[in-house]
Amino acid sequence: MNTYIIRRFLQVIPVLFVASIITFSLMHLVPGDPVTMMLGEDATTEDIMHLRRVMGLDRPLPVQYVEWMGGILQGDFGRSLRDNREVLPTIISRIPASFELSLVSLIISMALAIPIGILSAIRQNTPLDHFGRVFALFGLCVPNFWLGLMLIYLVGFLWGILPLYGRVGPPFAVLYNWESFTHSILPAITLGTAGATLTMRLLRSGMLEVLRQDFIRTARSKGLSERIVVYKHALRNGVLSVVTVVGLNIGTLLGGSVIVETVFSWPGVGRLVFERFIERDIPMVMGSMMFYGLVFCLNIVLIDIMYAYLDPRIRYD
Amino acid sequence: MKKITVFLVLALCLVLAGSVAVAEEPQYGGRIKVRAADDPMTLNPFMLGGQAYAWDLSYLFNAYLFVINPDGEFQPDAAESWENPDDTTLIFNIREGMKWHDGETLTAEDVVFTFEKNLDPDFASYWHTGIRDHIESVEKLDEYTVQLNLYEPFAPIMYSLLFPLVPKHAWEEKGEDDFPYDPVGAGPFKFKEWSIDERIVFEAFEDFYAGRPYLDEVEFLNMDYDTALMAYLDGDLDVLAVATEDLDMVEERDDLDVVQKPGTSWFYLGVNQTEGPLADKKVRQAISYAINRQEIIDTVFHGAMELSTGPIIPVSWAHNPDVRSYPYNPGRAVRLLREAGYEDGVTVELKCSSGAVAAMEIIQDQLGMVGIDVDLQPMEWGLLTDDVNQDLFELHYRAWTRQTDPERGINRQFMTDTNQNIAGYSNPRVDELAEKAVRTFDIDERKEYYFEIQEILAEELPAIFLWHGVHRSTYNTRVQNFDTDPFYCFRVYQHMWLTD
Repeated sequence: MNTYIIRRFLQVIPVLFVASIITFSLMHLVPGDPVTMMLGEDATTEDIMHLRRVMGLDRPLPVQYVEWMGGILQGDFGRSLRDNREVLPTIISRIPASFELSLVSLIISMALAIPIGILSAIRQNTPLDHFGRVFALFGLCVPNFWLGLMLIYLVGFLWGILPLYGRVGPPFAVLYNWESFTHSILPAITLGTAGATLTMRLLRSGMLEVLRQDFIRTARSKGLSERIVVYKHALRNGVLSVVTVVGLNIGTLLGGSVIVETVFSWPGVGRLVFERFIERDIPMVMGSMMFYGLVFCLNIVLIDIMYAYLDPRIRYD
Repeated sequence: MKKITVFLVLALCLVLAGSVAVAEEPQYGGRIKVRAADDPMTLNPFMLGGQAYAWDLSYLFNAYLFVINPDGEFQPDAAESWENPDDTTLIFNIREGMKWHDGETLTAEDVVFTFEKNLDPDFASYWHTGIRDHIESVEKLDEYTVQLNLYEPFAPIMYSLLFPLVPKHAWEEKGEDDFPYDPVGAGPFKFKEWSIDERIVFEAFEDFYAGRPYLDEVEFLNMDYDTALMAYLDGDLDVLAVATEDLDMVEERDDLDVVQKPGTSWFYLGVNQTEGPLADKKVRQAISYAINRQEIIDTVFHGAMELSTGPIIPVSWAHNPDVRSYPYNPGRAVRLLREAGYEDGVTVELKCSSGAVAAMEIIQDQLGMVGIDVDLQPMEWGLLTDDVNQDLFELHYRAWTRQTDPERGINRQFMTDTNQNIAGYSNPRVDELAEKAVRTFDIDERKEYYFEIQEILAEELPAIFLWHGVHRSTYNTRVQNFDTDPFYCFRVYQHMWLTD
């Protein structure tokens, strides 16, 4: 098992290397460059050429790539072309905001998905189940920019229950500061709804399948209470598929959400990458892509390891 | 009689109430929250030029030699006065005792340092290309006097000098990498904090030479427009540029108000006239006749644009109101096309940024009606700029903004082979007049030259002139003395104050 884990971790390196080449090439293939963005509408071709030369953007691409890679290997992610900020500290400074939003969103979505999913399965075809299914359909179909704006309009503006936008307090303040927490509720609901409904549907079908199996009948015939049958025997087996989805979801959530972070003025990684991509801030986008790549790869490795823990029959030797 | 008495009493009350309101003393304190459409790319004063939003912010914390007030006049800032002993010399008398935000004194040395950096071809400065062809050298005459020597007379030189001054000591101490994150200026507000892509806060500078501003703080919030609109309606945001289609919501409220002024931008269809049907003047005139500008202004811009007949903004002293105009006349357009030999119609490609599609689709329809088939190609703004710079277009829709001097509307775009020349336009008479217009300081003479150029341009249509922008801002009425500046050069926030 240990060899397997080490091997999996080592596989991350070539994946990231290939990802870096693809991202770098794509960034340069897309027309438009940071200098045009920086100089604005009145810029002349001459202004643009001048700044490109001063910033070293007129050198051949392989030279720029090798230089960038050399920096990465020494832990230097370079500086932003747009505002000269150091790439790594900038990305790191944005992680807590995305992370805490993901956390609250995950807690809210799990708190909704797990009970509704279980109840839908054990009360199949009852009004409760129908409600759950309609809710799931709604959650999956509704675009989250719309959901976000509606929540801001209704809950924040019209009823004045929760703050409209923004994030307050130091990193991770949502965990202990009430005001910070209230600021995170609307974006977290917006962000988590789609994931919650998917989890709910998966849990429901997973549970339904398990509940029909022989060992459940055996458990019931042994005279075990329904509670133990459902929670100890059915849930543990029905939850496996959910783990994959939730695990992958964590990766997505950590990467931040461009739309939710934009609508709620939430200073997370997603918005950073999006805005920097529009401005063709190559070092910042490259750095963020490396970060995303790392998070996703590690996440998948962790999910695999978690499988082995949850289902003792799975072994990777 | 009784009615009249009641009326008089009421009128008196109103007058008294009015005078009380007028007499209200400005109050110090408070924070004003402004929605910013974007985060500034940098606070490096040498690069604070490309984004319109950053101009506002730059005037807030930076010192300039002088600024332009909303009426378009120069107003002293770090330079208390200036003189030009001859047409190629400018002498600036620097204000004595003016402080940088770190307490050091602003001197001629800082001014010379700023000029030298901006003139250095190997240093990344936005202002470099604006001055390098005009300024031969900069000299420090004494601790508070700086002399600029020009290569040759250049009338709009003052507008090219509208860049922030940088403290030599602080720049050298912090270095290029760190200065932008803790910038030192000498403007009415000083930098307090910047949370990237989120907010940027400035606080009142106690030692500002003209006295500290009334507001304690100005906070710019980088927010999504729809969210900002709700925050503004909720009273949480003080200043927001409300979109025209949402103005009704502001107008029906007593606590919100709108300020609108003529803008400093002009919008046009750039024409690549080097070859094809567009090289024919008649085809260009046909296009101009076939566009119903007013319809687009009413439907797409909800009236927030003014009809345009040329590149000079209507508020400018150089604007010629009596040039040939092209009122909507599809019949005439069809006749002109026929005269040009295009009875069967022509096909042209029109590139625009994705934000301008609504207006361009109407133009596409209107031109279609007279037999001009438009292949509309919306694209990202940066790509459009690239294509336009490389002359890869037949027609394109763009705008120039912040026209301080007519030179910015004429010389740069319509002289042969200049950098911003709209694809291939060349007319020796325009070149001659435009050159003369920048070599004399006599306003009447300049006006004469620019008037004639506008007549030529209106006849030849090297670009299809569409409309001029309107500068508008909406605010919460708790902000007193609110103003907006179409030239983006005046420190509007310096004079605002908040009621309780």
